[in-house]
Amino acid sequence: MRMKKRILAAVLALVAVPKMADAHHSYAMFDMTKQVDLKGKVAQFKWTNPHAWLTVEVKDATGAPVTWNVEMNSPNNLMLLGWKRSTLKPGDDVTITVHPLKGDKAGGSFMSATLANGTKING
Amino acid sequence: MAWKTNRFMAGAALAAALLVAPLMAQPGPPPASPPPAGLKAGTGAPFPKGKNAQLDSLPDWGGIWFYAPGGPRPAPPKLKGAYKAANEKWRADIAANNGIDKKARSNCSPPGMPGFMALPQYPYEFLFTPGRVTINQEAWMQTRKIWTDGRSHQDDPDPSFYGDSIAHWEKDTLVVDTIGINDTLPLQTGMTHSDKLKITERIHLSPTDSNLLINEITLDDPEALEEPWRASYTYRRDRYGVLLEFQCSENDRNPIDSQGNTLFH
Repeated sequence: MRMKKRILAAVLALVAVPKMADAHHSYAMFDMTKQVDLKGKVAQFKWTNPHAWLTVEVKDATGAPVTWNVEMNSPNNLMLLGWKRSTLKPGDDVTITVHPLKGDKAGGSFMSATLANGTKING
Repeated sequence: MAWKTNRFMAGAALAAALLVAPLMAQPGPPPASPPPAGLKAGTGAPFPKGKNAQLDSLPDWGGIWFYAPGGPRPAPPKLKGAYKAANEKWRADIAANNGIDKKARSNCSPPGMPGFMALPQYPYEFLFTPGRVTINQEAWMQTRKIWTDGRSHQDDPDPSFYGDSIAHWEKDTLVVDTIGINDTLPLQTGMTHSDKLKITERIHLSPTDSNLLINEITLDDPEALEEPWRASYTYRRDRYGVLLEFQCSENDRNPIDSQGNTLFH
């Protein structure tokens, strides 16, 4: 069991290194082993380099509004996945999946979205 | 008193205008940089007329290219001396800091060479003009100027992000030699290099797939490396893609705080 844990740690270390070679900044701020689904309304969709940026208003378990800041891929990569600057607009209902930030701040690294019309689109 | 001062100021303004006006009318001799080392006056890339047809014999690198890391990763460069110790300290600091790299530079500051040639997410384009190859990289809107007009290296190039690059074509392979890279820039993540860093690149299309571009890159630094480090970078073509604008300040969500932490907001 202990050996397994060690192997796992070694594998995670190997996985972590390429992530730190990201072009614009390290991804170490995100917990890439976790996924969070968020249902809410788009507050802002910013279509600019270095990363497209999505702000979503989400209600927490008590019904209180929480603003999630979500970093996306570069617009050029997103275009190849079918995105446009008009794919999301403020007020749109959206469900997204993110790798959350480490710690308790409401933010994450974008993985995919399900639009109001049911279309699923990756990022 | 005030009237006197005003009159003095008006006089001074008039005198300044009279001095400037003739200067604007007659700009003086044009700027005239000397030809670079290895080129005779009247030759080289600044004289493209009549040489554009020759570009047609160069290989087809049209479209844009995305860096596509894949295959076995080469072993990391073998650092030595102070460079090795600095890298070990960097690793220890990261391990002690929950895997997070503290940065000394803004995330809006580009990596320069050699990191320039291995940037994921953001594409490249290669432009051929007589006597020169220009590589544009979308991230940070970086540009490499690579001279193919026969000039030699500058005697004492100012250290810079992209260095002093000269090149020649060996059939369909662009062979680039780069020196003069600023030694405050990374060799790779967490590694530094000396001002003796020399980068050799052999860039060519894959013999089996014309939509793959291959860069056989060698990093040589007698002060920082035990031996030259070699890797083969691969880029995939997107024929009709274009490089987008990249104004980092327009969406700078990841500033660095005074402790070197990358913020997120």
